[in-house]
Amino acid sequence: MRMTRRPGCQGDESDHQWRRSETYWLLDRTIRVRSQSDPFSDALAVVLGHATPPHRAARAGDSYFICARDGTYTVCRERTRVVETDSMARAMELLLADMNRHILFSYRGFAAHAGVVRHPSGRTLIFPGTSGAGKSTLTAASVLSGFEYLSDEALCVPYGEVTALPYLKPINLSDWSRHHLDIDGEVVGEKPISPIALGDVHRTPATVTDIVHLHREEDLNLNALGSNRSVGTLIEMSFNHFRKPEQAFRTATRLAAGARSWKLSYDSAISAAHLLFERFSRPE
Amino acid sequence: MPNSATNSKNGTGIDGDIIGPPFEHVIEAEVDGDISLYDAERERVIVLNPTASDVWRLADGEMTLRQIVDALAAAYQADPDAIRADVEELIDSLVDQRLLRTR
Repeated sequence: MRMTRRPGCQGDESDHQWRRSETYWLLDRTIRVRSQSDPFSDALAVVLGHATPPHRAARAGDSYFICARDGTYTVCRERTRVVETDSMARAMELLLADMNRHILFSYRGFAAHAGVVRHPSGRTLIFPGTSGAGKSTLTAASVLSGFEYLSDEALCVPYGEVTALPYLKPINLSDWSRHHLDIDGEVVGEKPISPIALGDVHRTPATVTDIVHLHREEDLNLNALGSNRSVGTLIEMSFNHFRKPEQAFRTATRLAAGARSWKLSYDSAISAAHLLFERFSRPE
Repeated sequence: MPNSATNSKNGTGIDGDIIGPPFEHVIEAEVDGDISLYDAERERVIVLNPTASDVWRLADGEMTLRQIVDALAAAYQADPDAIRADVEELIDSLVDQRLLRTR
């Protein structure tokens, strides 16, 4: 199908026939990616192929266009050029980063930095933490241990509710994290990993039952905390609470009041994930 | 330590001062029996401990400092003089942070 030329792409009209068009589902929207490059689309499908739209279509989202010409990749979101590079890996990295940033910026509910996983027993754990706190590594380790994946980066909850929406983005893992988790030994810096390469994903909203505060310490322990400790943490980790402060605070307090709070002290993400899986396998 | 018979640095040290109500930019919620506050002016959360939560509940703009101290002393079966300084200090702090009004 012949498409309109994108302003961010090089070349003339005849160059812009899209070889591939795929639709993904992330958070609350569909995202269409049109590409002139089969290798690019194939690589994207490896990390995002699990994020297929549900039967009932989610809100229509953005379209991305990947132009490939003379070894140069140009990534555009609608009419905005995201990047032009001669590295497919770099184009992929910045495409995923732009998707992530744009989806979270556009989300209209409560959003906070946190990993989210669900135990087969039905308990849903969140790991609030800033970038670099280790939540992606722990999330990945948890999925390897048998938890279902909802997000490694953002807890997204409609205002006034206590249910976490699945945000099935790829898990970004550093060389160290992948080595620690024995996923692959490639030294390439941060790399997106499909959650289904590690375990299962959870595709429907899940009620948050446990808020796990991460503390890097030598000894492995999981101890109960007062739930009110979680209110400040959730607001502190929220990246959009300033938009609707009262609703954000009310949502954070509902989440904290409805969940149990824990302090997880750990050094190894693998050991911590095993502890969590074992602990939440037991009935209360 | 504020003196209950004279103005403290924030002017909340007079027994007859009416304490509260909170400012409009302060939102409160109760979690596990304790009060959490959201200060929309400074975009931060303040979690009050159980005693401070009790003080906050009483600081509704209807009671004087003396009445709050007496009410707490009765609830905790304590000597009002023994808790007055701590209550004043807490209220001073809440007023200082623009969470509570006094008049």
